[in-house]
Amino acid sequence: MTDAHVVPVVAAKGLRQVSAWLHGWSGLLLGWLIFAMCLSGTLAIFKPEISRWLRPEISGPANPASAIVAATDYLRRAAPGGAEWFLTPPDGRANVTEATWADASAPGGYRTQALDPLTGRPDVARDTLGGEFFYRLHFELQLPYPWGRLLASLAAAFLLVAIVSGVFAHRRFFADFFTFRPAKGHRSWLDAHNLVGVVALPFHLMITYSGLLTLASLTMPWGVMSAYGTDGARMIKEFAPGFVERQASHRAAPLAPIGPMLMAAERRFGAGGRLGQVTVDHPGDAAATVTVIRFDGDQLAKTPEVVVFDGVTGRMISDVVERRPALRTYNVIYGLHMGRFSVGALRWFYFLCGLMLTATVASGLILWTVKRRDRPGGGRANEWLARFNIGVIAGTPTAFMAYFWANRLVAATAPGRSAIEVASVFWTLAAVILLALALPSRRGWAPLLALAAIACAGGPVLTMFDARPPAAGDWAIAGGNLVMAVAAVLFAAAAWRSTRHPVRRQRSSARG
Amino acid sequence: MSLANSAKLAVAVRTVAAIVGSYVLAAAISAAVTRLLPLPRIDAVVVATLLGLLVLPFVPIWAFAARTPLRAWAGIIVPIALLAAAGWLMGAPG
Repeated sequence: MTDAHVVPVVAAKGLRQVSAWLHGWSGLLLGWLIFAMCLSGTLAIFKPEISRWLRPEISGPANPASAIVAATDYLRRAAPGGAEWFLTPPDGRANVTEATWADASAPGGYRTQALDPLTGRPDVARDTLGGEFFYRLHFELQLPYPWGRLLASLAAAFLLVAIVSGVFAHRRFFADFFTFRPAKGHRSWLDAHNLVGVVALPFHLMITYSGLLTLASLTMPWGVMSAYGTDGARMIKEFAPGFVERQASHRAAPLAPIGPMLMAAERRFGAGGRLGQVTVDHPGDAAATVTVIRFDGDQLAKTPEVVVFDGVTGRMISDVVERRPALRTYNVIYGLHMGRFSVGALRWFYFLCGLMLTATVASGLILWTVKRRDRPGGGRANEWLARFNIGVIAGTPTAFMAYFWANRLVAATAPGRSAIEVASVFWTLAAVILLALALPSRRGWAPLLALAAIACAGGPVLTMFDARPPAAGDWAIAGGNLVMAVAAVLFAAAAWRSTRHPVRRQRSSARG
Repeated sequence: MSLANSAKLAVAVRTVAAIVGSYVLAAAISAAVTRLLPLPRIDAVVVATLLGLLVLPFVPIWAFAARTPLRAWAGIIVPIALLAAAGWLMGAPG
């Protein structure tokens, strides 16, 4: 750190300069992680559609209730005596039943698998995590619990600091909004950073704050501690009164047919209310319960209504609609982050806003190095930062595309293929970062952006070799291909552009 | 101590105030406001946690904008102490 960075703070030059300094450092320190979180979170908006792209074997419409019945029929045979089954039925977007159940042989003690909506079997589609990978990566960072979630929360807190201090640092908030000075070195990057940062500022603030809230039960337990002390069970009961907690009786009793319970639950949900997640606790035990949550993809708040049945008699034992204002506020803010409520056009708007936040982070990271490139003493550290920037910013989308490539290239019968898909992401990212570190920053962008373009273009090409064409009216594969093709064109254009202005780049690199 | 070193020390002191202070103040707000709100317990917890998270981005700005590092720390510790006292006066959770 040079004195140029220290002095403005110590001299307390005023809120704007201090904010600008804080904005830079809070954005830089975890910036690469924040970039990857923003991009994976943006993709997670289309989690069900990505899953459909990744499981071309399964297509066509599926009925939620019959899919749950098929899944429980399968699990009765495959996982009898398990502690619990979590089932999320197909809902018009997702076309499989996402099942998680206790399995001592699985890493972490739980197995997550997509079940075919017609047969309930896990082996109809290829073994893949589907869009769940991007969703989990977004807040668990592929690290064990709770470390991934804690690090993601820390990154979100840094991003919130960066956004708010960025607003304070802004000299001319609205005038700059209409300013763009292309091909003017760091001024152009500053204008671009301001544009994508300001145009979607309400989204940026909302998504970062609500993201922090989704993990607050882990990171901010102090309100709970102050009200309940160590009585966590009591807190859970009051927080989610719709759920019935029973201990296993260790007396065997057959699970009653699920179908009638689902119909009864749908009747309770009323007109338009559809089935959401279904949980079976202690299946095969006399204390079994079946919990049905109302589908929340048609409204803002998550977990709107919970109906619970006795698993042996099939009798309804609880039906709770969440009406408490504070809890509804929490559910709405949580729901805003998940973005499941949105209809088609709004979902694309979320996607675009997510891309703009990703672009704000990327342009901020680039701006940091471009600004210091021409300063005396910017030197070697700045060159490494610039190279690492290239590796992460071009490498993350390339690595994410490796997941889609692996999905089509790894044999459907390969053992552990879903883990191979995930590993291909991190090997690719590591390789691209190493490549970026090996290339001088003035020459790194063109080849690595071109590589990202090729990676994106490969997705649509690989679907041409699918064994079966998608069912009529199923737009997930075509839509995914279109997004990849657009991304390929944009990366190619960026690669092409980065080969221009060689004069200024050479001059600056001569100093570095 | 040279000017550059004391400047670096001041930045370090403020940085600790920003990072530790923002978390502890948010924690103090969520713990104390939970006790102070005339709401059912769980509603109070949720509202207080929502409020606590809101201060996170502003504490670091204060920590670096305050005229001296001492003022930066005081501006964070005094509200934490007041919140802790208020929560303590409200007694054990009912």
